[in-house]
Amino acid sequence: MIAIVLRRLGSVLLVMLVVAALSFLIFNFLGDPVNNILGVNATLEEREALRRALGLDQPTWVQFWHFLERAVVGDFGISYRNRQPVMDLILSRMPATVELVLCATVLALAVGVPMGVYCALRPRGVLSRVLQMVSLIGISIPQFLLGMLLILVFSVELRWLSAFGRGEVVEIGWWSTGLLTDSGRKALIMPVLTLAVFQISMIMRLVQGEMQEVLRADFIKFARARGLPDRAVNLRHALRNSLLPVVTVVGLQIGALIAFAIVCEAVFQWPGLGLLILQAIEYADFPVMAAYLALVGFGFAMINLTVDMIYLFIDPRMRRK
Amino acid sequence: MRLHVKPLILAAGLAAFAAAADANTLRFAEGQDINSMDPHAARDDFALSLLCNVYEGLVRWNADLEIEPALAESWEAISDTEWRFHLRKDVTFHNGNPFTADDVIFSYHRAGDAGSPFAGLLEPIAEVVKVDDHTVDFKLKRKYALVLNDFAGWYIMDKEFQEEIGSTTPLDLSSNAGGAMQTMANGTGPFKLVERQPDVKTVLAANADWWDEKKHNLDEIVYTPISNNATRVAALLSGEVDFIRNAPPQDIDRIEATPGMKVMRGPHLRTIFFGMDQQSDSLPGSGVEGNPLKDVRVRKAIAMAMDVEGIKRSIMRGNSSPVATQLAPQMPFYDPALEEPIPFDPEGAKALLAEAGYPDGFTLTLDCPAGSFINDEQICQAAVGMLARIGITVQLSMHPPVQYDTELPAGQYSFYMLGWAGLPTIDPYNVFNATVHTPSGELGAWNPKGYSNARVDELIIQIGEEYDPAKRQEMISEVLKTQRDEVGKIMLHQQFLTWGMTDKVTAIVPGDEYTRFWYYTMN
Amino acid sequence: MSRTLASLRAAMDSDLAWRFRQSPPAMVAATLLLVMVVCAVAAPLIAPHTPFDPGTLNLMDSRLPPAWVDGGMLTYPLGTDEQGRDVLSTIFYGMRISIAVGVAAVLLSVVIGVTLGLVAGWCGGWVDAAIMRLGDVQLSFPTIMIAFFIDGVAKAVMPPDLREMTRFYVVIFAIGIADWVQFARTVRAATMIEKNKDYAAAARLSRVPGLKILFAHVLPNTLGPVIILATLGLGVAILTEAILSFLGLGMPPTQPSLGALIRVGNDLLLSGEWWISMFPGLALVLLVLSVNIFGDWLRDALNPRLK
Repeated sequence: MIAIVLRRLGSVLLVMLVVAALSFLIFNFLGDPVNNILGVNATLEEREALRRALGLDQPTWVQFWHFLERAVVGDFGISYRNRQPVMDLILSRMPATVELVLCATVLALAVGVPMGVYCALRPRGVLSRVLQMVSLIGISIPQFLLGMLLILVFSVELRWLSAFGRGEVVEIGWWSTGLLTDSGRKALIMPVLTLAVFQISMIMRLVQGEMQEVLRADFIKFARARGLPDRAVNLRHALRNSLLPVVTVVGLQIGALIAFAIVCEAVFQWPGLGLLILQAIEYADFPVMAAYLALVGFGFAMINLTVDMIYLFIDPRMRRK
Repeated sequence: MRLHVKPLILAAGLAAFAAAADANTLRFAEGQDINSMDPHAARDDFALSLLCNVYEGLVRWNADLEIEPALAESWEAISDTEWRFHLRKDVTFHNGNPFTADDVIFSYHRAGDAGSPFAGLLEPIAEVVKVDDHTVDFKLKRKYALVLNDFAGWYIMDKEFQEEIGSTTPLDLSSNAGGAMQTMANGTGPFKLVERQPDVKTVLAANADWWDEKKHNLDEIVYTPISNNATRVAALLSGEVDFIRNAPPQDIDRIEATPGMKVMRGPHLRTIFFGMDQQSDSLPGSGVEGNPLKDVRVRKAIAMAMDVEGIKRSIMRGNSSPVATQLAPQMPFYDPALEEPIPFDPEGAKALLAEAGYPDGFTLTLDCPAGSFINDEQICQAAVGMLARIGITVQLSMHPPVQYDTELPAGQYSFYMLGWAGLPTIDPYNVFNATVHTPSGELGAWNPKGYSNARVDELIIQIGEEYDPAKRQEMISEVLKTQRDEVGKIMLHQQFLTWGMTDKVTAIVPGDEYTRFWYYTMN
Repeated sequence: MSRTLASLRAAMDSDLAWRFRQSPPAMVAATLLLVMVVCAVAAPLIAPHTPFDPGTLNLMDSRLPPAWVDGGMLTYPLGTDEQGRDVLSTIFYGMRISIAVGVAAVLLSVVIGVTLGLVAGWCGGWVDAAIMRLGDVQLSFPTIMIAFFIDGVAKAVMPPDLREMTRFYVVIFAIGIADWVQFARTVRAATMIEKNKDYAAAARLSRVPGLKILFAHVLPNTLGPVIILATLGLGVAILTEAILSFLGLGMPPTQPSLGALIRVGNDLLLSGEWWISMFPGLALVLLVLSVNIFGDWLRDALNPRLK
């Protein structure tokens, strides 16, 4: 078991190294720090002096090492556009995105799993067929289209929900949350729904598939043969065994949600990381792009690691290996 | 661990509920955020149009765009090249520091020293001398007619405060000083900065100690950038914001049809045009020898191909007005004798092209910003179609405004869209020296490889130095006429301001697009 | 001739065709997909107007509603946009670009994935380890994120005169490069199995070159799963392109894909000109939906576990 954990950790380190290298490339070579500090009118001597001051005259691997040293303590330099430390910007925007993604995940699980179980148990029922069709549409409709329609109906026509932003937020230390106020919770509804539709469909299809497979397995047949009630067989044995792969996929899907949140944030002007990176791309703000890549990469690696650990924990076969 | 719970007020719920609140909060949305609270960081019309509520100059533009005293009570010319300004007493900055002559001198150096974006604006000034705590003399390098106009766009900062936070030069990346100006501001204006989260929201509160008589009744202004056009209009329609500047033309009917909403209109000082490379000897990719744009007949043909009325009707939905010269009719020294635009005549344009030696046309690349001007993307697309009809094949290339604003002055485009309003000076001199004068140093910075005429260049310099309005008018008209006759630019139209707001708000809509909140009221 | 007929008949009688005829959703989806692909490929021939020949546009005809709404004209069945372009024709052309980008991106993924998978499976050892590690690294990023980054960085660093011309290829590259891992994994697994089978060993003994064995024997055996993955990947690729275009990173307004059409139409949604964004939106949803239904069916039909 320790060997597995170590191997996983090694793989995470490898991912982080590759991500850091890419991030370094963006930071150092795409964005020319000298030009951005001095402007294009500076003299050659001024440029040389600054290059030395910034350590840009040293070999690339030395620069990379310094970049790593700084990155580890969260120093990604200063944003070209906002003139603020990149790390501060990212930290101030992170709660919005994390809240959005977590709410969408919870919703997706709460709706997707029961729908999947139902469809697996009654594959030929009318409701199942409807749900299956709905889930197919769910993975085929682009989120921005859904978001636009929601705004049109619920903000403009009905005036029920907020078209933009997070509403009133409460600050707890450096974290900020909209969950503690009415307007904050209301503001979450449409973005979360927009973000969750794809995941609901995904999870439903996955649970259904896995469960149908498990239901055909010998141990289920055996359980039924023992005369266990259907309910116990379905929930205690079948569902439990079908959820294992779901854990992995949900972990990976949280990563995908962070990516899809970019679109959602653009439509609803949600002040999170997605808007930040969109603006960074428009302004060619390379320090922000580099930091975003590094931090999101780190986040993904951590999520993957956690998923593996959970897997290890709930699947006894893995432990014995 | 200590939990620090602090509720923040943001767009306090829907309009129905907000109406109950006692405080008059103006919730204002715009497509972008300002880049910093530093009024010297960039000559950025957009940033200054908001910062004018926080900072003030020695003089300011009033609701009718006339100069009036602001931080200076009065002024007089000592000679042709020397001005004396008497500063207003009992003015304090938002932090309570008194306003004195030292702040003026500090602000002159902060904004005007070499390397600062405002160095060009303050270039005619040779020296600033403190006479006493409330009197300052400005010595000019030469005769210069627009001292007052320029001063309206040059904001005064607090010397003591700026030194305290270490920001004595405009935004500087090598130190963190610029970062401080991102979230701090200390001016003398009618509103003071309370809270700022860049790109998320900015909150201003009324300055109770403002020196001027208070005409507005706003307590607070909450400014939220919403970049998606549809979302921004939706926020207004759903009552989550009270005021959006530049409602897209296509949404005006919808806003006006919504109960409790209105659109206030006004002519904009900005005119939109296409600039052209008239200097290069060849135009790469044009498929023909030489540079066809050097030929006045070709330029005229392009102008004749533009269905400006069609653009007005279907893209601007009536909210534009075709122009013949770069001056909008509301600009000082506008010449009504020159208002006849080149008529739309595609057949004539074709004939003219043939006469110039291009019967089969040629190929051009049209560079356009995506989001700098009203419906810029659609206008450029329409232009591609109109030019195709006279045989000119146009490749359209769209750029984000940030790239556009650095690549255009660098001369990277040969056929491009540009709009100019002559801010903050509001005088033809500013329009001419930026977009008409042959490029040289500070002059002609937005006319790279463009229109060039020695006589016009000479006149432009004289327009800057001439004090007599009648003589200025004569020279300005000559510049306009010459450029029009030589088709130095392809003129399109003057934009209209269409500001959407709830009925509760009463605003003024000045041609320079500044939001002068001290004239606004809410009920 | 008779041979073709015979093979056609054999195909019709095959198990797959039988399953196809048993599944109404698959038939509907396949028909819809076929119609849309034909519309897209033959757009220059069958579209009622040529919306991207700017010379034929007329601003007089801009913003006309669909034909069945008051003020609509039969010449423009689905109405016109702000430039006076026929919406139906822009959809045909937009679909052409969306499908072209999607197919090209998936092909790129397949080529990269299959090649790397074959190499990894055949060579084994450190080559295998390196390729699979690379795959692990890439898999820890969602494909949309990778596409987004490549596209965004390319947009930021490309010189202005190349920016527009290269969009199409940049978008294909950005989407295609992000999704090779699943193909590589599948092909690698199949290759490792085939490699150790007797016929491969026999072929090796008779000095048939490795490459020939790979292409003649191993590759055809991996085709089934690759086709399933590619079909399902096509839906994702088309959606990814639409998202990039909607964010202003994908296709430019002069060569609009369905996503770019929706982006432009989005600005007109509130002004009542819903047809400019909603019809391209509907076309996009139908396109992706039919690809997905067909892909689902294909997976179920070819998946031996469910038989």
